[in-house]
This record gives sequence, C-alpha cells and structure tokens, in this order.
Amino acid sequence: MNAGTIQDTDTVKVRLGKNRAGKPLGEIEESFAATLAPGDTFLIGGQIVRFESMRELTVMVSRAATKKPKIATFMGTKFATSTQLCDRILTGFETDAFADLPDYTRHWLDQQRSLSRLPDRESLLVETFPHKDQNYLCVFGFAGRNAQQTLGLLLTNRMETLGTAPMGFVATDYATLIWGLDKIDTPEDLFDKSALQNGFETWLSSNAVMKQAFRSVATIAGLIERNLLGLRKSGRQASFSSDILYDTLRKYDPDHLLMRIAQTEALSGLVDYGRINAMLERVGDRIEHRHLPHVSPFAAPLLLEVGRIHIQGEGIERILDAETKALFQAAGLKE
Amino acid sequence: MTTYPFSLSGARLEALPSGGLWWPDRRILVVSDLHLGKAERHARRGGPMLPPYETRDTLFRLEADITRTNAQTMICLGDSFDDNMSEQNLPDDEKLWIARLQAGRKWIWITGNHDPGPLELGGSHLSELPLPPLVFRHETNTHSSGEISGHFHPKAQLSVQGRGVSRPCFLIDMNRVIMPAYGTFTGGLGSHLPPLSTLMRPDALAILTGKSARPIPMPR
Repeated sequence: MNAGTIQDTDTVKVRLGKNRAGKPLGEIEESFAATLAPGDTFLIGGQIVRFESMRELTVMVSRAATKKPKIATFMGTKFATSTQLCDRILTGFETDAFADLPDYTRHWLDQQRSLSRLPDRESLLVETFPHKDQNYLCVFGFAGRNAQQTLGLLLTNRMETLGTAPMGFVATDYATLIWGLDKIDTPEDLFDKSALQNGFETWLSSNAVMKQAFRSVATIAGLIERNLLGLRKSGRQASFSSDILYDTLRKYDPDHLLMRIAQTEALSGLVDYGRINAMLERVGDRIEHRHLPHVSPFAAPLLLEVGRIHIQGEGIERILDAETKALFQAAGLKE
Repeated sequence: MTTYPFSLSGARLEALPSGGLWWPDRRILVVSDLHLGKAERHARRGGPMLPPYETRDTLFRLEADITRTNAQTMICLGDSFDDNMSEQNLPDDEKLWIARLQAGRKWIWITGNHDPGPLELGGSHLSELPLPPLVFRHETNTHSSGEISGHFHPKAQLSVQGRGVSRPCFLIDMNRVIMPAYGTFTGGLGSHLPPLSTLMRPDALAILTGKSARPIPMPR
C-alpha cells in the first residue's frame, strides 16, 4: 500500500553510451537534468560527462574533458526564506550595507542600480524586458518562495483574463519571473488588490500547481503508477495522464475526496498568501516600474531557475497557430 | 474555431477540431475509437480506478458535433466500446443518451478489435462500409485508396518554444485518412513511430485537433 508515503524526489539514471544498455554511472535529480542541454557537461561518478540526450527516465552521456563542468545539485525539499531575512536584505539595499561584499557582488549590485534600480521596503520593483521573442515581467517581492509562487499564479491568472497570453512563470525567494506573448505596458494594473483577492478561489481549481498536487495525491492513492514511463510496458498496462483525470474530476465530481486532498496539499504550499497581503499592504500603490532593453542583473538568475510552471491557455494556442502555419509554409504546401 | 477542408478521392471532407470528420455532401459525420466504458473495464479487471466520467464526456462532445453539423448519418469507426462487456455494463442513462442521439438519423457501428461482436444498442453493425469513392473500416488494410480508418490513435508531437506539445491528429495523404481517437482517456501513438511513419506517404499531413484544426506536415 502506498498510503502515508512521503514521495522521494524524482531521480533519473545516468548512463554512459548511446542507448539504455550503457554503463550506469549513478543518479541525478530530475530537476537538475531538466536544466541540461545537449553539450552541457557535469561531474558524476568521479568523471566529467557531456549530456547527449534524455529519453524517458534515463540521461545518456558521453565522456568529455572540459574544464568547467556543472555540479549536479541535490536540492531535496526547499524551505522559504524567513520574513526577517528578507527584511534585512531590503533594508540593506537602502543603507548600502553590502559594501563589504566581494567585488563581483558589488559589481552586480552596481549594474542593477545603473540599469534599473535596487528594490526597497517602501515600494515594489517591477521590471519588464524582452528576451528571445517573448516579453518578460519580473516582480521583486522578497516574500519567500511560497508566496512568490502564489503571486505568480495570481498574476498569470490576471494576465490570462486580460488576454495578454502568459506562457509560464518561475519563482524564487525574492522574485517572480513571468513570460508571455504580449508586452505589459502598465503592470500597475495587474496589482489591483481586490481583483487579486477575488480570483483566489476560482483559479486555484484550474491552475497548474493544483494539477501538480493532484498528481502526487493520485500516485499515492494508486490511481496512476509512478515511473511507469521508465519501464517497458507489458501488454496490458496503460499509463494515464493525471492532467486528464484531474480535468475530468473537476468537471464531473469536484468534491471528490482526491480533489479535496489535492486542494489541501496545494494550499499548504501556498499558505503564504498572508505574506503577499503583507507585501501589498507595505507597498500600497508605490509600484516602481522599469522597462529595460534586456534582462537585468537581478532578474537574470531566474532565467536559469528550475521549477518553471507552464500555463496552458491562450498563449500556447497562439504559438501553436503561428508554429503550425510556419511548418506548413516551410514545407511549401498550399492551403 | 476553424475546420480543415480537404478532398480524398474526389470527395470533399472537413476535419473538425474536435476529432470528428464531416462529409457535407452526404451529411455524414465520422468519429473513431470512442472507447466508451474504459473506466468500468479497468475497474472490472482490477486495474486503476479511473473517474467513471469518460463516457459522459465523450457523449457531450459528440452531441455538440452532431448538433452543430446536423448530421443525418453517424459512422462510429470501431473500438466504440472498450470491450464487449463495457457495452452491457454502460449505465442506463448513458445508454438512453446514445439512443437519443441515434433518433432520427442513421447510425452505423463499424466493428473494431476491442468490440468485435454484435451490439445491443440500436444502429447497423458492419465490418466495413463502402460508400464510393470512399470506404470506411476500423483498421487500414494498407492497399486500399479512398480509405477512412482509425485504430491507431495518431498523435502529433511538436516542440514549440522549448515546450513539448502533443495533440491527437488526423493523418491524411492521397490514399487514406487515419482518424484521431475521439474518446476521453484514449492515449495515442506518435506519428513519428512505426507503423504510422511507414504507412503514410512522405507528403502526408497531420491535422492537429484542439481549438482549431491545424494542418502541419506529418511529424516523422
């Protein structure tokens, strides 16, 4: 029975060679594997290897002799930063308390100050910039990862309602980075407090984080098999998408026990809505918007952060439209 | 919401974004691989206890397509039920729903591999249906032309801006159409995998289902 299980973090196997019969070197966390692109090198089992491909739950690598491999991180569970630490950092920006830090850190702060501005306690810094064909919005709330994640959900929901086609977001302890198809000229509109609060219950049921919570709940309940993708399927096995099961239950049986459990799970991770409220109270209507020609020093680390939440909405449909038209024309076909 | 019009052996057809195929000149609507009763079948065999709403969801969409096209003939291209007992074990209100959809129109069940036997519900039962210039059967016999079949549950897999997108799709070339699976909870086979990749001609198209029917060269 799987009841009462604490789920292990997902790991993937690493094999040296061209196929799944290659020599096994060890395991890395799936979240680290997700950051790798073909050609990236990392250290495992005492040797430096190059990422070639990933099929199902196996990473294929080849030997490589580079000087600067990535180091696989094993993150496990993450806890959010405390309010006091966040406060100290924000105060530190105002009082220039970071003069003692190493050169490269001070340089990073100086660059942020000259390109954009340093965040402070009294206002909310919001940066917008274009990057690789999409438009980005970064909110430096310093509210801790859980609260920033919730803020990401709230803002992308608002953006979806306003028709700006958000594509996804990622959150760290100090910021939320949202990317989408449309440029946001007046981000102040997104922070309307009553609009944010009103949408809370409704979007919670349809969003991607709920679906993630449902996936682990459904696995523990035995409804879907974990790791089925990595094993050879026998004749009678079938794997089911937890997203489809979730959508079906949401439409026809929203009070089902599994749905209620998933909502509790999702909410407990999002319990820091109180911290978002506190942040909004603190800044009032002092939103400092900076539109930049490219990514800022403070926003740059979020581009590399794992744990991206993808939004299924108008954005992906629009892109599919453009992409399918392009494929069709590229093939020289006529309508 | 746009459909994709094309012709096969001279017959003018429309691929609907829902996964159904519409032949306006004969007022025929075709769907394939409904797999009604899948949750019940899995539960009966001791498999995962899926939410038992897939039949309802499929019939909901089917009713919408029937109403929108005002079809006079409905062809269900096989694997309409997950197995023989699924049909018998269908709840009464869902059986009545099907009967209601059947009222006033011709309903043809083409037998598939999951549901080979004769069925209780109304409508005609055939192993294949020739309607020149087209022929309808559950699984392609690989050498016909003007053929409309299902069975494979084709899916198109694309990489779009770093994200993988997978959609059920029609596969179309000058000889045949392979229908997407219409039923809820039906999985799929990527078009880049055999036998689909070898069956279809090199110039075959995949028509993605979803919000609109979108044509692309078949992913290989």
